[in-house]
Amino acid sequence: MNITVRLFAGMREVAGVDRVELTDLPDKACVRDARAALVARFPGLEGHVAAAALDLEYVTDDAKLGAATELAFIPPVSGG
Amino acid sequence: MSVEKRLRSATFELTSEPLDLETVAAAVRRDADGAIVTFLGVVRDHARGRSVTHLHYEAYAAMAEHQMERIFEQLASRDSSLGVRVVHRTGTIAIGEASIAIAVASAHRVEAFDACRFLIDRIKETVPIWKKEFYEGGEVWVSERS
Repeated sequence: MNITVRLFAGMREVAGVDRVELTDLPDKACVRDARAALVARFPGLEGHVAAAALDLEYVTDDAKLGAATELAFIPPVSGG
Repeated sequence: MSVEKRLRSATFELTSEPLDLETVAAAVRRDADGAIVTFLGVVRDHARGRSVTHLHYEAYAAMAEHQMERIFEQLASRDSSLGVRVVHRTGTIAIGEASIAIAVASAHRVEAFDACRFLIDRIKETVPIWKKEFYEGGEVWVSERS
């Protein structure tokens, strides 16, 4: 299965891109699988702390990607 | 059947333009209101002992809007009589300029103060916006400082 991954702030800078298409993820892949695939593609992201969001909702790493179209990694926010 | 409470008005905007608090406040006022509480977050010239030259804010716009809707729903479940507007700036911001403007209008002051505090506290916890601090000879995403 495939999913679009969005990157922001320091993770975006380290990866050098703000959007990644992850392909060939296993069927029934979860956020943890996508995170591992992302780090495999961009080793510099190892150790970056970030929550995950599927289609704009915060989720845990156990969440199945399912039919979601967009996975985002959300570093600790600092708005306001 | 559950009926979801909505605020009487609630708007959120991301903008790269300078913020004007009077405009934000005017957008929420109605004749029945006795109080408008406003909050302006401004860029300070120092952080953790270093001199800051300016800031840069980046947002995940679609999710920021979605998470703001969640916060507005939470506020409505406490008090749906409020009128609320939140505007957050993105891009490069100079010292002394505002990064966020919040206005809450209510019949009475206590509810407006409480709601304004609730909004800024929740925004800082869950809305996907990131701040990068620029110093003389360096820069750091605040989320990644150690």
